[in-house]
Order: sequence, then C-alpha cells, then structure tokens
Amino acid sequence: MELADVPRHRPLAFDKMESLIKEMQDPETGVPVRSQKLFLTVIPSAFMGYDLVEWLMERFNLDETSNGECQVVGASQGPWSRRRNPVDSSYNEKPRLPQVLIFEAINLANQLCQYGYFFPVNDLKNLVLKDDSSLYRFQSPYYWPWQPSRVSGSSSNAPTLGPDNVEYAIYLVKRTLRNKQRHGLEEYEQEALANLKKNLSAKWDFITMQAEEQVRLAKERKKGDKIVSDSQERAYWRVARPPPGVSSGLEPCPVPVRSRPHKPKKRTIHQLTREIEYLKTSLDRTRVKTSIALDALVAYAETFAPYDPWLTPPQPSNPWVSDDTLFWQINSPLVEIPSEKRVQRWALSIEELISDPTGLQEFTSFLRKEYSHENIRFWLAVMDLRRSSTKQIPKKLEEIYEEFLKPGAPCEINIDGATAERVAEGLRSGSRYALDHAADHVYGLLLKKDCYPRFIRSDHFQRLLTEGKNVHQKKAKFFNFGGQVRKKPGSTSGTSGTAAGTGAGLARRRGSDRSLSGSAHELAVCAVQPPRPPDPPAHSHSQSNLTDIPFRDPLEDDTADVLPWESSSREGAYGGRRRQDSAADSGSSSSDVSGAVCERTRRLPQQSTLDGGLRGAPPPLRRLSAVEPRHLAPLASPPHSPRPPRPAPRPLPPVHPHPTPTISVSSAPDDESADSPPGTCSPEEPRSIAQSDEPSSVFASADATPTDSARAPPPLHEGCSSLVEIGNEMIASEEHPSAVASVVLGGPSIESCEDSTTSRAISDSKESDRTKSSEDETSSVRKPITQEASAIDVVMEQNPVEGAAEPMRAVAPLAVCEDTAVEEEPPSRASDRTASSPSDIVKRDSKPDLGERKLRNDICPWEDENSCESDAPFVKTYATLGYL
Amino acid sequence: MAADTAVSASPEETLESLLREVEALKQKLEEERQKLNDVSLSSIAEKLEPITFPNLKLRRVLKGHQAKVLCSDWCPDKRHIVSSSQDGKVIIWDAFNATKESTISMPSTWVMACAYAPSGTLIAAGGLDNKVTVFPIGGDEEPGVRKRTVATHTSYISACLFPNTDRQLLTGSGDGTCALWDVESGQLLQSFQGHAADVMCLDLAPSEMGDTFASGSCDRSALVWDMRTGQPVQAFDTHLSDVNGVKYHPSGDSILTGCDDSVCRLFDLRADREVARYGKDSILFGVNSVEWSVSGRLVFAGYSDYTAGAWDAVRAARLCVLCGHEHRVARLQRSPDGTALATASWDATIRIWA
Repeated sequence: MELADVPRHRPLAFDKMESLIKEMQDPETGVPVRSQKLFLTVIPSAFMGYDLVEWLMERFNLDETSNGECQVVGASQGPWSRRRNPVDSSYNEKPRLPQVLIFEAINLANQLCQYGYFFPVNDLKNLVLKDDSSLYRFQSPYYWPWQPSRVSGSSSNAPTLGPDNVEYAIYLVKRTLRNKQRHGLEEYEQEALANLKKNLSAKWDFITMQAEEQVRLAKERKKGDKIVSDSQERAYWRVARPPPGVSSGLEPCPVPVRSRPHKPKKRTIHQLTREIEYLKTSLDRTRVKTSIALDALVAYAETFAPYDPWLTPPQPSNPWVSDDTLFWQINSPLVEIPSEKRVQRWALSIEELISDPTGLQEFTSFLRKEYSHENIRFWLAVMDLRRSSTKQIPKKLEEIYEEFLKPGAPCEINIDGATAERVAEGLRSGSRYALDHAADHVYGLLLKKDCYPRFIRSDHFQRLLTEGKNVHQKKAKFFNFGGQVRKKPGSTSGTSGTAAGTGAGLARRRGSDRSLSGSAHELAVCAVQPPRPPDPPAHSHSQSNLTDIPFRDPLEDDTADVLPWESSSREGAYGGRRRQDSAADSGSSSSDVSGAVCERTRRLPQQSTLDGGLRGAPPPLRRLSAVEPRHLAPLASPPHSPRPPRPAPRPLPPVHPHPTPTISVSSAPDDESADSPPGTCSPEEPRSIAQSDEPSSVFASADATPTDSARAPPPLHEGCSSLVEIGNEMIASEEHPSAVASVVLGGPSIESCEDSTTSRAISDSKESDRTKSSEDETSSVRKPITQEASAIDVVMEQNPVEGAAEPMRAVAPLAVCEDTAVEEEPPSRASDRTASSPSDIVKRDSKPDLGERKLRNDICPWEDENSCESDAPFVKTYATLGYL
Repeated sequence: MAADTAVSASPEETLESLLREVEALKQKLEEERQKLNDVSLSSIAEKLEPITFPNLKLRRVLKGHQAKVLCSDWCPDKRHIVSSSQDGKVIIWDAFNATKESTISMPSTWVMACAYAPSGTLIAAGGLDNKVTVFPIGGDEEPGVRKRTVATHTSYISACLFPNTDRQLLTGSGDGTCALWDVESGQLLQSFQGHAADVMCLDLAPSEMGDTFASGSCDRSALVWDMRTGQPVQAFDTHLSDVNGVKYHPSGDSILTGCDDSVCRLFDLRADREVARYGKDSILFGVNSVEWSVSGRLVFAGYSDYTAGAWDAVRAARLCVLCGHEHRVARLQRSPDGTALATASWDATIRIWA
C-alpha cells in the first residue's frame, strides 16, 4: 500500500478549506463565476484570479481588526506587492488595507489550488494562483481531497488522502480510449499505466470495463459539461498523481496515521481509577486568578524585554545581522568580565544567576569568600547527581554523603532534622533523586533567601556591574581595533583629563579589587597609571600596603560570618579592598607595562560610568527595598553615600597591625583622582593596602548595615546605619550639604569622640558653605564624591572599633572633610589643608584631585542621568518578579 | 478506594460508575477553573503599548537536504544546527556560515526527531526506526562510528531532547508514551504513560531543576509531567485537534501549544487554565511548531501553509508573517540566545531569520 492509501485522520484544515470553498461558490456572495470568452472560444464556469483574491480579502478583512501592524517578511517580494489594476482601485479605496491581507489572500488561494479545490483552466503544469485575469475553475466536490474512497476495490471506508491505484488505472485507461490528440498520456502517465497493469493484473478486466463504461457515459453529456468534467478530472489527477519532481500539497507524512477508532478504546478500570485520582488531586490544586497569571506574563515580558534581541537590539550587534560575532564573544558562557547587562540580569532572580555559568561562578566564588559555599556546592552536586548516568549514582551519592552530609564532614551542610531524616531515607534508597529534598531545602531556604540577596547587595556584585560597563569597548579593543578604540576613552580622559582620571580611578578601584585577589599582572597594570603629580607620601603608604596584603584575607574571613551585621560588613569589605587597590595602583607605578596603559584606558570610560554604575546597580536593590525594607538601605547607600560618622583613619599609627587611617585616606583621594599618585611605589604602600582592607570591611558595614540593622546589628553599626540612611535621604532629596554635615556630626558623637566631632563639624560647615555656592553645578558630581567620602568615614569608624587609637579619630574626620571639600570645590583645598594638618597625605592627594574632579564633573552629570534612566525599568521588573 | 470496590462489584458496573465519576469530576474541575477566571487577556493588553516589531529578515538559507526537513535543533553554542530529514540524513550545520559540517546517514527514512546535547558534543536522532541513536560529534572520526542506540519504542519517535544533561534522553513516541533513558546504558529510567494517542512533541521546563516537562499528543491534550514520579501533573484538553508543538514560557509558568486546528494556545500552569489563544479565521492550516522569544512577549508559530507567524503574546495580535518557504514549516526554533529563528521546512531548506 502506498502512503497515501493508508486511512488516516483528516486534518481540520480540510474542513476549513471545504467550508471556505463552499462560501466561494455561493451564487450570491461568492466569487463571480461565468463563461469567459477567450478569443473566439468560450470557457465555461470559470473565474478570474483577481476576483478570487479580492473575494478572499473581503472575506478576511472583516476579522482583521486588530492586525494593523502586521507585516510580511519574505525572501523576495511576492506578487502581493504589486497588484494589477482592478484590485489597485479597490486598494486605494481602502488605504489601510494591510499588506498582509493581500499576501494572505494569495497565499491561501495558492494553498487551495495546490490541494485541488480549484485549478487553472489553461495551465495544469503550475498549480498557482495568479493575481490577474487568468482563468480558474472550481473542482467538483467529488474530486476534493480526503474523501472516503469511492471504488469498490478499496478496502476501507475511512477517508484517504488520495485516491487508490484502481481509480488511477481506470482514469488512465479511459484516456487511452479517447482522442489521442486531446487526451494522450504524458510520458510519466504512460509509465504509470504500464506499472499499474503489472501490479493490478488481477483486476485489469474490471478496470477496463469500468473505463469503457465511463467513456460511454461521458459521450452522452453536453459539450460544455464535458469540457468542465474532463478538466476537473484531469486536474484532480494532476494533484493526486503529480508529475515527477513536482511537490504535492497532498504528500502525506507516514505518521501519525491518526486514524482514530470511531469508539474510544475501552479503558480499563485501572486507567479510570488513575484518572479519577488525578482529577481529584487536580481539584485540590491551588490556583491563582487569571489576572495574576496574566500580570505575571506581562511583567515577565517587560522585565526581559531588554534581554530579548528581537525587542531590544543587542549590543554591539546581532551576529546574524552584522556578521560580527563580538556579541557572542562577550556573552560566551564563561567570560572573565561579564557585561553589565548580563550582571544586571543576575539580579532578576536566582534562576537567572545560576543558569548563567559565569553567574554561577561568581556566585560561588563570592560564597567561597564568605566561607558559606558549601550550600551551593552541595546543591550543584545534587543537581549533578540526578543527571548522572545510572552507573555513577552510588558512587556520587557516596561522595556527596562523605563531603556534605556525614556528621563532621568537611563541608557539612546545615539541614534540619526532618530533612536529615529524608536524606537518610534517600540514601538508603540509592535513587538519583535521593537528595532532592535536601537540595530543595538548601536552595529554597539558604541560597535563595539568604545567599542570593546578599550576593546581589554585595560590593562584589557592584564591582561586577561596574566592570561590565565597558566590556563592549574593551572587547572591541581586543578583538577589532586594538589601539584605536582604546584611544576613544583615553581621548575623553585626556581632554577632560582629570575627570576621566577620577572616574577611571573609581572604576579601577573596583577592578583592582579583583586584581588584588587574583592576578598580579592586573595589579601591576593598575599601578601603572599614567603620570600624575607625584605624591611621595602616598607611595610610601601604598607600598606598605603591599607588604600587608596577606593580611587582607584573614580580615575578610573574620568578617565573613553568618550574623547579619557581620555579613553586611563583609560586603563592605569589597569596597574597602577596592580602595586599597586603587591606592596600590597609584603607588605601584614602577612597573611600566604597556598592558597597564591599555588597562587604564579601558577603565577610563568606566570612570564616567562609575557613578552610573554604582547607582545603576543599586536601583534594583532600591526597588527591592520597597518590597522588603531590609534591602532598601544597602541599595540606596552605595550611590549616595551618606557621610556618617567618620572616625579618623589617617592618624592611625603605623604600629597598628592594620594601619588603616593614612592609607584609606590616601586611597580615597586616589580613587577619585586616580591619576594623582604616579607610579612610584614607596615601601609603605603594601601596608597601606592592608589597612585599607580593614577600612573596607568597615565600609561594607556602612553599606550593608542598614539592611541588616533591622535584624540585630551591634549598636555601633546600627548607629552608623541609621546615620547612613539619614544621610542618604538627605542627599537623595538634594538637601543642603550642611544638613549632611550635621548628620555626620551625629555620627561621631555616637562613638563618643567629641574632639573629632567638633573639628569635623567645623570642616563640614566650611565645606557646606562652599558647596552651596557651587552646588548646582556640582550636585551631580557630588553624589559620587560624597559616597566615597562616606565610605571613608565609615571605614574610619570601624578602625576605632578594631582598636585603633581613638584620639586619632579627631584628626581623621578632618581629613575626610578635606577630601570631600576638595572634591567639591577647589578653593576649599586650602582650608582643608589647614584643617587637616595632620594628614599630609590627604592634602597631597586632594590637590591633584581638584583638577581631575572638576573635569569629571563635566562628564558625570549626564552619566548619572543616563544610568538612572536605563536602570529604571530594570529595577521595576526586579521588584515585581523577584519578590512578589 | 476505587480499586477496592472494583474487585467486589461487577466489572461492567464499576466501569460505568467510574466513567460517571470521571465525568463529574471533570465538570467540577472546569467549574473550579472558571471561578478564578476574572479577567480576559484583552483587558490586560489594552493597557499595554504595542511593541515595535523588529524587522526580522531572512539571513541564511541552509540548503543541502535532499528531502523534507522534519526536525532541527540549535546547538548551545548558538551557531550550529542539527537537522534531520525524510531521506534519512542528519546534517550538522554551521548555520552562521551556512555550511554543512557533517552528514550522518540513518538506517531509516523519516527521521522525525533530532536534538543537540547541552555539551554540544552529542546529537540524538530517531524516527520511523522506532529508536533514538546518539552520535558523538566533534571528534576526528566519522560521527557514525561510535553511535549508540539509547531509546527504543514500539512506534516511531516523534521527539527527543536531552534534559539539561548529556547523560539522559527524553523521548516521545507514536506509541503514546514518553520515556526517560540513561544514555550510557540505554536503560529506561522512567516511562510516562497517560496519553491516549501518539505523542507529537516535548518540551522541558526551563528551570534549572528541570523537574517537569510537557508533551503534546494526538489525543488533543497537552500534559505536564513530573519527571521523577512519571505521573502527569496537569492536563490541558481544550484543543480541537492534534497538539503538534508545545513550548514552555521562559518563566516556566505557562506552556504554549500549537495545534493542528491552526490555533496556538497559552495555558497558565498556576491558573491551571487556558489564558490566551493565538489564531484567526484566515489561518486554515495547522500549527506544526511553536516558539517564544526570550522575553516571552513574542510567540512564533510555524504553519502548514508554508509560512511562519509572529504574535504579540500579550495582545494576541499577529505581528508578522514570515514567508519564503515553499512547503510546510515543520519546525521552528529560536537560537539559545534569542538572536535568530530557524525554520525547517518540507521544502528541504532551513532558513534563519534575524
């Protein structure tokens, strides 16, 4: 049996086509059918192509209401793009007639023609509908496809797609019995006839008899009818048995046969019971309202629109369009520096984070630094387990047990009793899903609710965001243009020299964090900042920092703790570290690596984006805060750092194991004016770094504390956080700097260092006055600055906590004030110096910074705005999706 | 329970009472679902701005198959495609360069399913041979050398995929079942029985956990399965004909089905009901395959009328018709990063739109 002969289910499309054809043939409302005169001959029962197209368009225009914007895309413009006269006029009458309608009408007409519902009168070779005056004729329903077979020879009554061979044989024999000229067989038909004669020899008598009979009957018909029925029959076979090499619309797929028994199979009791059980459980299912489901759908679409290449053109370009694979390089599964957009996506949900290999890696390394990565590792191990080959299951199960579950295991995870019981049960069963429950527990309670939010709020994450800012340019540099692209950022920095420098400094800070932790090469690169005004003291500090580097990690570790506040401080640590790094960078200029230059230029662009980066990242967080108060604080704080209590870090004596003060101060200025310290590395530098580490942790506390303060932060932190928050609010509301200053004052008081407070207050007031005057211009600039300042302040505060000399603090605040003041206004510099006589370093740094800062001002304002705008939708989505 | 009563009562009676119970429960279920049907999609859509649809254009044409292309699958590397065709050939393409990388001959014609493994180093294919064969690719030798038969069904293979791992294979078959296999040993890990007719399509939930998958069948229903228990979790049966394509929304909260009745339907898993329909009168032919854009805002459907259509999922309006194929569009799939759409057609070509 041929494929076409197999009884099968008739697709719904045939019902639809048939009803449509019936509508077309309606004498009143259908397609006008009449005898057409062609030269001297009359062609009965025919219609013209454009009439049909017209009719179809009318027919479907009715329900084309919602479809105005639909477009047609094709390899080449089809016939629908140029309609002939008769239709053109109507087209003009309906000016909004969408292109798609014309296309659709022609496409549909072509389909109907392919299936043989009508056929071209003069040209059976090509079964296509032309949108012109060519003539077509409807097929008789008898010859429609998918009819029950009509010949006694066929075995089944089910509808078949095509006719069977007996019918075909009769038809061919009939043609041989008639006028050779008009009914002669084509070559392929003769072949087919020969084959059929061989295969159906048993039935051949019957076939010839039938054929003779039909020919005899046909002779009795009127001529007009005869022409029509002959053409119909011929068209039918043209469709059902197309000439070789011509594809047919009726060509069936061998499967599914889909011929369904008329009665559904009798179901067994077992099946029914199962169905009932299923239905009962379905009844108990909790459902959400449709509105909620639809809102979620809409929210998801809005959230992810930026990541949908069809809605938001990808940056730098869609490889398929531009033939440039840079987009893929930037977004390859594992990259050193993920693009900002990609990092932002991680903030949408933990699923987004974990499904991205780079995200997973960053998350894991973040948790590793927190010493809490056993959870993610356990979860990954279980995920791996359930997807493992059957053979490996017992072994992997055992390994997981040994590493994570056994009492006293090296990475024992913390699960409750009930889960533990189920784990034990699962272990006994040895199934690949044995540990799913525990994994769900770890994922849902620990990773999702605890680790993930912390990661998103962490400085690590912020740094990633900032680093990702200029990935495109960087990549472009590396892959395409080499020096040229590099120049771009550089030139901007050059023209607005210091501005770029400062921005770069900040960016570098973030980058440097990584460099410190990881690659020495990077560090060196950073260090090789282009020449800045030499700053001897800074060097020395930075050098000392370098020596101290080993200390940093222990510090972090200490901070890393489960306690909420501690965690917050931990987050801060990154910031602190960054600071150090920057300091280190400035200090260690000795190594003049060409790469360093590259690095620097690369980062320069960042500077401008820095503000945006900081702020951009936070928005999602802020949004979060709206949802969850807890999140609020951290988010807000990074962008506009409040100036909370600033203990004096600087004054810290070198004796202190982590002599933060001087270093931190110096580093801070560095960051802003990265350029200031040229590459000279003084021996002190290493030490300063270590110090900065400490402050960093403090800084972290400032950022993070607010979040965690809700839980149970130690009083000191709480004070800080509250201050910070206040500061944030003020800044955010564009309040006067003086107000901020007052807030700052409050901070020290909490710490009970009056001396520092007073001095600081003075400096603050000065600063505020100055800033006032230039506030408008600098306001945008100020935010980042203040932020940094605040960070510094926080750092300072912590120092005392860690045992730094309290008296030093008094000095420190001054220094901080200076920095901020300097940043905001050059003139303030002098005053600052006087105020902060103790901190020589600060002065020096600030001096160079002044110029830079000014420059930066130029850039910053737009950047801020831009970043804010771009981030806004992102934030929104996050709120809706992640936490609803 | 019902099973216990079945033993005591006469079989006929039990069967009938059970059938009645099924009907009653179904009705109740429908009522429950309707209770929460508070808004229609159109009311939500009114608040939304229509999106500006990108100018999708034909970017590549992959020519090389000698017969109908029945299935295709993107490689996770975003530029390779594996496709299978009626003449029993499986071709691995570098779609970006529009070149063939290798050709594998299968033992039977009508290779209706093919899939890339997540690692990109294995492909699976099967069809009328009732088997799925896994081929390692990327090595030096011919891909056919180290092939391995992993899955065996009692009828043709209509769909297969690797569920987030190279080590397992999920198949759907004309015998009405789906099955999960261990690739290494060819062992059946789980069988999924519940469809009353040929399974036509499969899709895996996008979640990392990958606990569920959806299947569409000629019994006019789409089922959502729990991979671990082998039981159907949810069923959606508002289709008028075969379900030819099914696809999870990228959020994993709903599934989209493409039906032979030429309508695509959106079923929300949490609302447990159909929430949207994408279809119109002028489309007469069945949907063979469906796809989402990354954001879930766009729906793509490949039709038997030689075209593919793009729909605004929220406004349920058709945005675009992609034409150019000269035969039915059997399969359409977005590239993993959403930058391109591949359509495989019975006209023996695969076209890439972006």
